[in-house]
Parts: sequence; C-alpha cells; structure tokens
Amino acid sequence: MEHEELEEILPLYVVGALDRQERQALDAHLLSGCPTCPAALKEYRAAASLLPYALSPNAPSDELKARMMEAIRASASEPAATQTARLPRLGPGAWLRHVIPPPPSWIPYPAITLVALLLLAGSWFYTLSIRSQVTTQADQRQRMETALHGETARIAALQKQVTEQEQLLAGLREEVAGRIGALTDLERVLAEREAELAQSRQQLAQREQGANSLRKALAQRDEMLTFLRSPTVQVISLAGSEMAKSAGALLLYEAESKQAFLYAFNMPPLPAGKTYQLWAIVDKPINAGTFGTDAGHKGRLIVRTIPDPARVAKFAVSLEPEGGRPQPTGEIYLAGQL
Amino acid sequence: MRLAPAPCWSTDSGTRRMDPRPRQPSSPIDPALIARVAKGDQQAFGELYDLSSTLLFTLALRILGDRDEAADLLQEVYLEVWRKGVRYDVGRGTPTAWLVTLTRSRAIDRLRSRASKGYGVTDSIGDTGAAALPDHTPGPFETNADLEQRALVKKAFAELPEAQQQALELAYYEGLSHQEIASRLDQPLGTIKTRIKLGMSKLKDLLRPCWEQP
Repeated sequence: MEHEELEEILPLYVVGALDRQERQALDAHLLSGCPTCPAALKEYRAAASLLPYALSPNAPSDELKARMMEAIRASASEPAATQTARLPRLGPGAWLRHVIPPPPSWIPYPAITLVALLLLAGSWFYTLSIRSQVTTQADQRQRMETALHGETARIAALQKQVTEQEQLLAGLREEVAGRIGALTDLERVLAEREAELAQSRQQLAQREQGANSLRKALAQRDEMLTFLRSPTVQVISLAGSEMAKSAGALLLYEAESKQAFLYAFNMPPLPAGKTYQLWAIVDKPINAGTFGTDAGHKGRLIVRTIPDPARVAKFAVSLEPEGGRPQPTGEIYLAGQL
Repeated sequence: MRLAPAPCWSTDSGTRRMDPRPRQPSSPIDPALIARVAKGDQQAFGELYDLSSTLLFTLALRILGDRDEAADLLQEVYLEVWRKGVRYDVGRGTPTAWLVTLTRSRAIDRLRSRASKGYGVTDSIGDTGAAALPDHTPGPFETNADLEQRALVKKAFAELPEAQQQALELAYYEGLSHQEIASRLDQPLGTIKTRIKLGMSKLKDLLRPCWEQP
C-alpha cells in the first residue's frame, strides 16, 4: 500500500478496526520513518484515548483498591528470590539505586528524588532521541545498503565489460600480429616480384634489341623483295677473284629509284680491323659503301644512290681497313659488269 | 452547561498541587507519577489508582459488560503497570492515553478469548448497564478538569451522526474490524470505513484543545 492509502486508514488503526494485514502494513510504514504519519497518528490516538470520557462514569468498588494495595504490598515484601526475578525489569530509579549506592542520610531525600526525576526525565528524552536516531540511522543504513548493492552490481557489470573489452583487445592484437605477419610475407613476395620484374625488364630490353635487329633485317628483306619484284630491276653478277674463288655476289639495280642491293656469299671471314668495300668504276672507282659478313659468310649492302650501271664499266669489292677508304687500297675479292 | 472550547486545563490550576513542570494538558496524571510507580513507590501507585480507576473501570465495564470481570481486568492492568511502569513512553502520548489503550487492549483480548470459548457476546450495553447508573457521579478523586474533559468529549461525540457513533463504538468497544462491522450492520465496507474516518477526523478536530499546548 502507498503512503496516501496508509495515511487514510490511520483513524481505523487507532480504534482497532483494521484487519491484521492492514495493521502490519501500517506498522511497517510507521517504522520506515514516514515524516508525516507519526504526527497524524499521535493526534488520532489522543482523540481515541479520550473516547471513554464520553461514557457515563462508573467507579469501581473501594474493595478493589484495598485488594490492589494489598497485592502490591505483598509483591514488595516478597522474598529475595522473587526480587531477584524482578531484577531485569527494574525501573529507572531502582536501577539507579542498584548502580549507585544509596546516599548518606544527611542528604535530604527530596533532593535525591529531584535528582532522580531529572535523571529519569533526561534518560527518557535521551531514549527518545536515541530511538529516532536509531530509526533514522537504520533508514540511512538501508538506503546506503541499497545504494551499495546497486554500485556493486554496476561494478560487476563494468568488470564484465572490461573483461570483454580485454578479450576483444587480445583478439585484435592477435589479428594485428597476423596482419603484420601477412604484411611481411607480402613484402617478401613484393621484393621477389620486383626482382622478377627487373629481370623481366632486362629480358624485355634484350628482346627489344633482338626485335630491333630483326626489324632491321626484315626491312632489308623487304627492300630486297621490292627490288626483286620491280619489273625494271637489273641483275649484275659478280664473280670471286683469286682471293675468294668460291665466293660470288648479285647486285640488283633498280633504275627508277636508282637504288641497288648487293648480296654476297661464301665470302672469306674478315680479318680484324678490315671491311669489304664496294666500288663502282666509271672513270675512276666511286665508293658505294662498306659491308661485313655474317656467320654464314654472307654479306649484304644497300646502296641508296648509285650511278647508272650502263655507264659503269665494272663493279668490284675489295678488302679495306675498317671504315673504308676513298680509293681502293686492298686486294679485289669480287668483280663483275652488266 | 455551555463549555468554552478552551484548553481542558484552564480551570485546573487552583485545584492541583504546585508543580513547576509543564504538564500534559489533557491528562490529570503527571508522567512523573508513573516514574514513581515504576520505582516501586506504593504511595504513588495509590495516587495513580485514585486518578485513573474510574475512567478505566468505566471502559472495562463498557467492553466486558460485567462488574466483576471489569474489576478483575482492572486488577490485572494495575498490577501490570506496577510491574512494568517503566514501559510507559512519554513520546507516544499522555499517561492517561497509555492507561486507556492498555486497558482497552486487555479487555478486547478477554472479550475475544471469551467469544472463542463459546460465551455469548453482549452487543451493546450502552443503554443498559452503564447508562442505567446516574450520570455525573464523580469518583472521590475526580477533579474539575476531569469533569470538564468529560463534558467536552461527551459533547464532541454527541455531535457525530449516529451512524458514525455506532461504527466507532463497535470498533472501539466491541473490538470488531471494519469487515465485521460491515457484515454486522449489513452495510458496504467502504461506507463503514468512511464513517470511521469521518467520525475520528471530526473528534480529532474538536478535541484538539485537550492535547495542544495553550
């Protein structure tokens, strides 16, 4: 039940009209330190205790008082055994006498009574204040215990969170370590790839070189083919001299473009620092270019501009120092005419 | 006689012995008297008896409906006070309120145990036993203050509607719970609760001068 409901039933409480459950609920509420109910209860209780004054008074018989006084006189003069039994329930005054021995007879008795009364009143008020303090402290303690329980639960929850975070962190660390390992592997692979790439570049350069030479060779062949296909091409055959009996050459001359192509075969290998040089002899020998030989002892030479073969008395190839000479100086290896 | 709603002790100062301590105005019994009784002061006990026995006997008789049984109960209550006077708590009310509460509680206990033993339960004796006796017959030790208080409470109670008086009497003197009263009177529970609440609220307001310091 809520405070409002309980406050409502205070009047029923003081006249004893509540059932046991309600009475217990209200008792618990009053003990819980409600700030307003005890004051209201005190007033209702005072009003209820006055109710018997509304009755027509009836005095008990005088005999009852006599009987009663006799009974208490008897209990006062009971033997020590009974007195001992009363000891735990000694009143404040008796208790005081018990603790502090009776004063000497020269101290006036009313003074002692006054002191005792003051002490008694003091102890009452002290008891009251202690009782309210105890109630307040019990409340505070309960509140603090509740708060403590709450805090403990919160700390437990936080600890659980921390543990979870730590586990997460450990997992992350492991993952990071794994990633670092993978990264190292990748770096190693990258280095390998870079090495391979460098190698590949080198190979590519070599290939390009090869391709270039192939392209060059192809171009020469194309030009040779062009020569051969041309209807205006003239073929001049050169025969080996005494220096190279098995050697020979074909000189293809294309009149339109005035270009010529020399194809020599079975040429003796060139000594170091030497080259073959083609001469077109009109009035005197005219330099037509130099050429080397390949592994198959073949030599090729394209001549961009060449005098009309009809005006050329003789074509000849001589062995000359490297770079060629303006006029022939060496032996003649090949010679022929149109 | 018309009574001023002044504090119940307004006419008392001349009739009581000189006492420098501020007294609980609603009670003719000084808490110090209870303290003396608790210390085993037989004279104080006699004084206490003289001051309270009429009120307590009236109450016991109203509840139990039998003079011998009421006297027996009174003896039990006073001997309990003699032995356990130290239990009185000044913070909970006046000595009179304490004695009334104690007597009512013991009497209701007897009433219940008698009912459980199969005795017949007297309904209301208000108009037979107690009222048959002459009114205003103060005991030898009743003071003017007692008389004044008696008149004030009587007047306040008479001001309540009859239904509220009846509900309060059934609870207070017969020890019935609100449910028992409702079934006794064949009324809804809520009605009974309301009657008790309204009755007590009004009594509290009317009787406040009896316990409030002037």
